[in-house]
Amino acid sequence: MRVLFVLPGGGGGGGAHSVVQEAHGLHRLGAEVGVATTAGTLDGFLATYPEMLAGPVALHGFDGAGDLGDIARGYDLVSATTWRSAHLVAEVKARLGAAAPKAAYYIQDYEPLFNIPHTPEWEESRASYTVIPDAQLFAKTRFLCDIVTANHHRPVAKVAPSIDHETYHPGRRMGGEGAGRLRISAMLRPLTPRRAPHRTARILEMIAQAFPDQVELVVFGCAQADLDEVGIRLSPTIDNRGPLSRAGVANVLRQTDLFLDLSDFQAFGRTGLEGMACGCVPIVPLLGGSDEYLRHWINGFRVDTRSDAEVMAAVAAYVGLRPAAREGMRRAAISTALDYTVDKAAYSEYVLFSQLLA
Amino acid sequence: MSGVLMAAATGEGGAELVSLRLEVRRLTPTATECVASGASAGFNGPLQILVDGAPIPDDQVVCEKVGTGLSASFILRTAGRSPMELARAGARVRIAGSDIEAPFPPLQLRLAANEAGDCFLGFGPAVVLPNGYGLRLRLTDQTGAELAQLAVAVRDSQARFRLPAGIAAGDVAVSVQDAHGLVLGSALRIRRAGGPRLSQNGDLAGWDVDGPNGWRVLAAEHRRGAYAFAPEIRGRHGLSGATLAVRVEGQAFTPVLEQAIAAPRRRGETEALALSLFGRASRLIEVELAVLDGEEIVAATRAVCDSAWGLREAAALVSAPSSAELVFRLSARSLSGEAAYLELAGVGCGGDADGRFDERNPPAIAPGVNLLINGDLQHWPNGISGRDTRTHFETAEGWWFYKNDPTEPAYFAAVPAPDPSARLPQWGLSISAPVAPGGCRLEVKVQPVRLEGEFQLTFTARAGDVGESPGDHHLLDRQWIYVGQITLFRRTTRLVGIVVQDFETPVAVIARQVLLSRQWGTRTFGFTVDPQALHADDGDHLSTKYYLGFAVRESLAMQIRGVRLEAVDQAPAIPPPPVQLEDSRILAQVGLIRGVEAWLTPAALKVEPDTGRIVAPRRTPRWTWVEPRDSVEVAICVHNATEEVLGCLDSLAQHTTVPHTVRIIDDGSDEDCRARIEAFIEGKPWMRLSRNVVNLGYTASANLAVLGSAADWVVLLNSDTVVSDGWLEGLLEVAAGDPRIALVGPISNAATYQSVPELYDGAGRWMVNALPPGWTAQDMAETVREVSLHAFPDAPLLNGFCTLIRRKVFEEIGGFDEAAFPQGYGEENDMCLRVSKAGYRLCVADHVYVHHVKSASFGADRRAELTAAGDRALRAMHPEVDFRAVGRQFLETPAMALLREALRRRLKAAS
Repeated sequence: MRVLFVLPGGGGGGGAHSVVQEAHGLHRLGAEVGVATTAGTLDGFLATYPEMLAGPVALHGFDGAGDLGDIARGYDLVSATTWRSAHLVAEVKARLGAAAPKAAYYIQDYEPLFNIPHTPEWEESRASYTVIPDAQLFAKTRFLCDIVTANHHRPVAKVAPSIDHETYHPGRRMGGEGAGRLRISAMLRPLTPRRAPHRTARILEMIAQAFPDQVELVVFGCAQADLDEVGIRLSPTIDNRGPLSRAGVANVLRQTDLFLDLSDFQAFGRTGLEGMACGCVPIVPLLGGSDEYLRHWINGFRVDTRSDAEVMAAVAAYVGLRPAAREGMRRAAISTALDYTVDKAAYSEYVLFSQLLA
Repeated sequence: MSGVLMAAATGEGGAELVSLRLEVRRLTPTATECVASGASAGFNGPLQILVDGAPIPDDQVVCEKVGTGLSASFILRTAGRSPMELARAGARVRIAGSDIEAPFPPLQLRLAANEAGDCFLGFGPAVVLPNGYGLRLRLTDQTGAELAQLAVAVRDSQARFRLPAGIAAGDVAVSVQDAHGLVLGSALRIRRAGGPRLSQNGDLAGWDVDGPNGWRVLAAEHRRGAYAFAPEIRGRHGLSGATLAVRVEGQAFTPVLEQAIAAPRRRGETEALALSLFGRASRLIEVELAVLDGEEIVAATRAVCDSAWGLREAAALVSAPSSAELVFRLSARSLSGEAAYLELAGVGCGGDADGRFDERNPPAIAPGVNLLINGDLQHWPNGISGRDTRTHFETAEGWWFYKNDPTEPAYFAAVPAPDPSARLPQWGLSISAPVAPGGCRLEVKVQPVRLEGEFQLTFTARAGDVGESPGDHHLLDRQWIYVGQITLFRRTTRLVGIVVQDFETPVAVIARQVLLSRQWGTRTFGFTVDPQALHADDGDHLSTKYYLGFAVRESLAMQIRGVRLEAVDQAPAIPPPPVQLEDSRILAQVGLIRGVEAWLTPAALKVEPDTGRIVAPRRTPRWTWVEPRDSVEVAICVHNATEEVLGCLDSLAQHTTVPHTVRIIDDGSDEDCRARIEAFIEGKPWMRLSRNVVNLGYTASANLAVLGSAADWVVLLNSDTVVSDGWLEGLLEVAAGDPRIALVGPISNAATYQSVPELYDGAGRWMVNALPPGWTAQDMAETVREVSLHAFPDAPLLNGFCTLIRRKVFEEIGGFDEAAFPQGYGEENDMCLRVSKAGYRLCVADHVYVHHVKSASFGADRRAELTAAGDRALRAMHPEVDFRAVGRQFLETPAMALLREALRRRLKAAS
């Protein structure tokens, strides 16, 4: 089985992480795997994923559909991973004709939701699900399968999601100054509206004022300049760690009791699950696919993030829990996260691809 | 004006920014006296009178200025309309060209009768009638029938009269008219009183050289004064505005004022007396109000006065006075031991002899009056900005700030509100303080009125202070302020041993967790004050005051203005906090893409903890008639198949927008099914469940449902159907086309000849068309509506899964044939043929799609058996009908054929 994932751009997002990891997982299962990225972003890609340099998974840089077609000739299956790459794969299929490998599309998110309706980007992202004839669509959450089927009348196979347990794992928790206070952390993405930066900042402020003695607050993922650009001012009591590497994020999460993902929706909610792997209890949006791993009140909270009152009620509920009950949720969270291994996800893809190529 | 502290400030450009108040002080039969306080010397008005918001034309009003100085008095005369008439009409006085207004005071007619049968008619303190002023009284009984008419004349501010023989004071209602026939009051009841008010000149209006008329001033030093009470306060407590200030020294009670009063009527019996004073004190003063029989105290009560004007009153029992004349005495002592002044605006003894003391309190204060002292922030006796380290200090008058930390200072400042259109400057308060253990609180004093009933609080506020006050507190400037709690609370002063202590009791929590941002925002909250919460106190408190509190736990920096606390007829519903997406791109796609419909629900969604399912808030049915039409009932016969039944009922509740009732006939279902249906219809009074004790079969149940209904139209609906938006309107639309239309059926996926897009499957059996992947019944219904020709074709037969039936016709033909078709399967065809033969039309609503899950009640084998039996019976009963021709007619009906074809194309394109 020879599989090529088309992953344009420098990587770094949650979806790209899972593709790179699962490519390695497929390799471990015996598949010959390649990742094709745009030649212009190859350096950035390698900087993010140094394991791709002379690793077991082949890395190809391509410049346009012609290039990609040449690379694809050596594979049995070529899989798109984003709406732009779906159009590229469609072009490759058209160019190669009968010689083209089979096509698939690993749907990471419902991308029309990222774009302004009726713009060319929106139309193209909508078209991406049907642009490759006979492509096998697959996705890692039931939500993604359902929304694509409902809107594009194409069957979508479900595969298992994964996170990187090498990076995200529980570790020793530091004592010290903040001991006795709960640490609540949140990812703040000022320039990504669907991640609801204003709501996140507002809720953090509400928490700071509602529980001044019980909690300390940490945010990460945002540069001060970006905050300034969208007019968000954080209280001095909120510790802003700025943009962090994955290891840095994991370090913060390991020292966190409650992690807030207050996005409007999450097709999967990777950071929430990574937080669980690091031993924190997450609050994740109820809208979207978080039900894949999150059991409300067992290993975290699924709340309607559109409502500040709902979010604050969940925070207050968690802060008000007995320590033993908080520890119970934390253990349930770690236990859940351990089910989402790269190998398991890769195997579900391996089975799917085998059927496709049979 | 000793008590009113007004800040006169000079704004930019030197404009004089003095607070100007207007008050209608007196009404006579011919003139209205108004006082404009805080006016500049050159202020000449003019004043206008507004009736129903419209000014009386200038040529009909004469406005004469009669006094100057800070309080300018004006006399207004109106040609043809007496001030009493204007007061009855709810007129207002306005300074021309401004929005400063004052209402005409109420006339406050009072009727009382004493034991001897003398009746008295009195007016409120603002009404001044000359002696000899004539009034006409019309006495009616409970039914409104006139009993008598009396002419009476006013003497010493009241009219005295006797009721004609045979008429009891308790049985009549009185209407009062002036000499010109103007009704001053109607349907007034005569209050039975044990006697006239025991004390006289309680409002201290009358004076002579020794002091207030009728009172003996015992204090060493006293002084006459005046206070401009708000009209509402004056009216409520019957105050004249005149005050008596007495010096109180020492910690022992010293008599300061007394008056001889007549003994209450029932001599020898225990009686409740109302003892009250309206006053304030420069330091804490405890006052004793006592009734003495000789030197023996027969009734007494005590209260503490502080620096705020307030009513202190209590009912005291007077037992067995021996003499006919008693003494009402007011004694006082200084709680601090230092000399202090007690200022009285009203003091009285008497009231209702039945001891119903509360009746002396007028009903709740009029809506629209701001119950906060200095709610408009016009008075700044402590300066317009300041820095204070005390834990409790006053900023603007009546606006206190409390913080639990005496080391760090707090800052306050007056800030002009950014409203250039307002002629008078509107002020706000900026306040900032560092975080303190236990937080801090802004407290606004409430007027001394009876707080009971429904109220509304409105304020405009933002986070962040003005940043211009001295000091380094800019560090406190905040992006958000989280007001943890807004409460109405009571601060009670009690004497504990020899120490005076304050106690706080919450009266009402108005709001919690109110987030203020940098943007000015106006918030409104409604709340109810439970009378129990007001009267929870025991009797030993020294004084009680009410405050509005804004409690903040973190450091504070906020600005607030336009704070209004008002009585309302009904507390406004608190709007639920917003539930909204932040990303406008997602928001714009709800409705464009499928699967995210719930993302726009106005109420927050919740997760069911056990199943993890999202619980969508139930849609409240909204029913509208475009125009009033006949009544409709939906009848559903149920025999088990619970899931399908609940799905059907749920779709009915969600998608029916025509007023209707639902009748569910449970034809011998099991207990579980019945219980779940009962649970579903709970709280849906338009859905009713009736039960056949034994299974009667479908046909008999359907007959029961239709013939037992009182509605003009009955929809007989199978329990395994799913309706969509507009389904019932669509059926009724067809029926409205012709009075001869008796039966209407919709399109479906599985309804023999009404099926779309296919009638038959490959084996020639009736097709059960599946919905395309990802489609809902609603999607299909929308598509059918879109591609349909809306031709409403006639049909020889209608499938019985969903039929709109004109009940009268159904009755006329005798309903379904229960004997021939006991289990259904054929009964509807028989009925259709009989309806057709009776001369009525059957039509297909080719634009309405009702999804049919298909025969949930019986299994497939049993169904085939029943169908065959039904067919045999039908052919036997209608031998003249060529059923093949009937089938051809359906196939060839152009509207139906085109619909099926259009749908085929549409579904193919979508797949």
